[in-house]
Amino acid sequence: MPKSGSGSGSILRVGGWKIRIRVDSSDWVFVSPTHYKIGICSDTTNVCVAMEPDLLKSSLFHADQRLCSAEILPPSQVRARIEVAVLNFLKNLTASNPAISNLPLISRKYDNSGLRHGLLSDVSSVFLSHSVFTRSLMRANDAKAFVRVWMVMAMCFRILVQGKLATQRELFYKLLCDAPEYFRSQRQVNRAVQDVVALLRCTRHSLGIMASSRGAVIGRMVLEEPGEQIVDCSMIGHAGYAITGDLCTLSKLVLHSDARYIIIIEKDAIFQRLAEDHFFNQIPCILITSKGYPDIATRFLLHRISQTFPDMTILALMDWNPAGLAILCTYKFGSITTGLESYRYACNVKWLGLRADDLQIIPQQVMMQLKPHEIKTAKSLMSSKLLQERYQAELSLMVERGHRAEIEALYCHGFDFLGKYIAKKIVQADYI
Amino acid sequence: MATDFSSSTRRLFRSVRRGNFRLRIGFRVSFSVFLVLHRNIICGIFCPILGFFCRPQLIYLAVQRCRIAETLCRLSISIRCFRVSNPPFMRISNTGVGSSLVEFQDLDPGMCSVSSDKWDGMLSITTTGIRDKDIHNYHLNLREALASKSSGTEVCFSTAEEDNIDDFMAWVFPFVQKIFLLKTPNLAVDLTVEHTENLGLRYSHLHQETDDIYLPLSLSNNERLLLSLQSYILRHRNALDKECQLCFTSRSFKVWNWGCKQHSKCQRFWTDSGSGNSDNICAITVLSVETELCYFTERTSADRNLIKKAVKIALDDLKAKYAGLLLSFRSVKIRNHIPDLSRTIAGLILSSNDPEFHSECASLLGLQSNDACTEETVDSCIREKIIRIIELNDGKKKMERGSAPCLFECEGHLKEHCPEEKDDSEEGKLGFGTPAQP
Repeated sequence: MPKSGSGSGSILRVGGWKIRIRVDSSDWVFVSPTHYKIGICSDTTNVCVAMEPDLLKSSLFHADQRLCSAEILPPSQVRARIEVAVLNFLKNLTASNPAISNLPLISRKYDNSGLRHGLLSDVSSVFLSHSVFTRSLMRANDAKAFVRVWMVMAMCFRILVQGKLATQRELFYKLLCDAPEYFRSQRQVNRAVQDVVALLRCTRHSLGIMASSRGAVIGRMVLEEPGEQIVDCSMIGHAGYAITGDLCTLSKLVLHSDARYIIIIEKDAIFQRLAEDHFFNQIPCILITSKGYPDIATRFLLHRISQTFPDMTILALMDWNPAGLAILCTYKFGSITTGLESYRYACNVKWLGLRADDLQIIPQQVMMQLKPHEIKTAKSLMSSKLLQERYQAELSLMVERGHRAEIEALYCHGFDFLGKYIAKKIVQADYI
Repeated sequence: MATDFSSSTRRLFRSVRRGNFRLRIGFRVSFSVFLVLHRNIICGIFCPILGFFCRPQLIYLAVQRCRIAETLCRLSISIRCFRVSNPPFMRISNTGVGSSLVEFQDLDPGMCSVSSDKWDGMLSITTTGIRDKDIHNYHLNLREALASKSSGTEVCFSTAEEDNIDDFMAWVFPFVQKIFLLKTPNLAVDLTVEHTENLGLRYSHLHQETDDIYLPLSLSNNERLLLSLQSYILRHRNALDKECQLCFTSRSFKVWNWGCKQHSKCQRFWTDSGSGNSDNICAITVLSVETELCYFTERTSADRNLIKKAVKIALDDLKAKYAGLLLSFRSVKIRNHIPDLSRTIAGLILSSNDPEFHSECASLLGLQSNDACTEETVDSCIREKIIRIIELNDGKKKMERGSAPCLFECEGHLKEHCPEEKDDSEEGKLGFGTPAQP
């Protein structure tokens, strides 16, 4: 049954919920989710709610059914899943028609992914669906990868039994010693860990693997670690507060802040420059960085801050190059490779700079040529049709010009120019 | 009766009667070859020197006589070569029942490639037997036939031919090794070579290795050969392309054809050295014949496809009889990973502190659930079971194998498999880069 509401323009508030509508056709469309109804009508005009097919398809309701998720589980439950895995393997091995079980893993490929738009929030995130591929010992080329999954699973089981946490780096060295012919690089370890996540459908942290974080945070925020002393992030050194890789500890932090903005900084040098200048006192903000591609702990903390302070606007300051945009998108949407869990920490990040408009204040001589792998990254980003138009336009311009610009280029206007540049853009709400 | 025996010759026969078997006589040139016979030796007339006696008939005759005797025989081939010695001659001796000089009459003097100025065509033949008290000596001119019946034969042959001893030995060694492979019943063969060279006296001895393979006397030649070759393959399995110092000192074991005068049907089997390289394919063709096995040579221009097809049939039969010994390359590759997998799973089971989990695993594996259930026990149990499945599925096509069950029930759309991701082109497509950090 349609409920009455009030509002103006294209935003209606019904029952306290904010709903965007677009007046398009004369047909009524009622959306009936499982536990609440949305319907809009008007006494004087026919206001119709039409949802775009893409939006309908990628709406929260549909996405939830399609979404495949890695659960956050306590150690006892993860151990139980691993034990079930072993028992199933042995049952098939000793059956009357014996066989070696295949490992069904959620596919972490583009064709098994989608972008879900939050209907009730501005957050969109990448998700993985239920498409599964198998690893099999019976395929000669797959046998090694098959054994790797079991080796990592056994290692995680031991870690959980001992009640410990290990980083992926520690895992790598342990596996390298035990089975050097199977694990030659960190990348192979990371892939095998993601396979175990995809097999057991539990988060990496639940497996006892701690993210070793490179992240740091500074600014107008007070952190209270349970049982520890209070940390005022505006009074600490330029390096900032080091973000721990233990997601449990991060989840227990008590946060206090009067900041209005959270600014994600791509590079550590810029982070420290702004920290030195106490930029967070000029514009009340929190500065956060992961010194490159974001690790799960930094994303986790960012998400916690944005959940705790939903009115804080999240901005990103990146180099003007495809890698910078890729980093922004990872904070914003998550990633496919860790798609089973990273969707949880997607945030509504807006692109502050550098952008194409800023190029006019950057001298031509400091622009650098795009390398072939950067052009490749740009093109594959552009082919993700789910990227919004304005981001696509920026990428096209990068490729067209064949140049990139770093944030440090702004220093040609003076060392204090950076702060002024950021402040000006924030005040003008010049972000996309 | 012999009239021109040297004293050393007399010693020879006395030693033969006693059971010793080496005769040493010096020669001016090249070498001498002696077939010296143990007490029960029937015959062994063989001289491959210079191609003269390099004819299978002589060997055939020698082996034949050994088989007819139906008693234990020994055939010793002793080659002696000195640079400076007495005028060269060759002595070939045999004892035994049923020997007949008629056999020598059948020898074609034209076969001899020794020039007449170096060899007069004469063979000095001395016969004796196990129950004989007399020693009989004959001179056989191959150009004149002599008929006689005696219980044993020694043929002496001398030549001044100056062939390269190394070429000769390069021939005789693999030849004798091939005789070893026959496992001819009641015949033990050994080859001894002594010759001087610049560095001094060189001595090589080749004798039949004993093993536990005893082939029944009732077997035909072809069955005997087939089983012997099977035994060889089973001993060496997938290392056939490697030298086996025990069996062969040269890599001459390639492809053999066993040719005979008549052949009615073929028994063939074939095996792969495991390297997948066709050059290393070891194909053995045994033709089942009505007549006796005469000779064997290395394969030359036989129809390769026909051989491959024929031996594959025999190989499948062999694989069926000895499951797991002749695995495909794919299965061997998989099998290499099995010990690591079984060790991993066994370690996982034993690292649990849940006794119920332990007992459930032990019960599934058919092991006693007690403290004696060690990681090694569990490891080997799992390993055997996995290996068995690999062996059972070896050679089956994909459709025949069927699809293996999944570890967990998967409700989603099941894809075949995802190859190991090597390229990172997915990064841009909402992969947004793989985090480089650990």
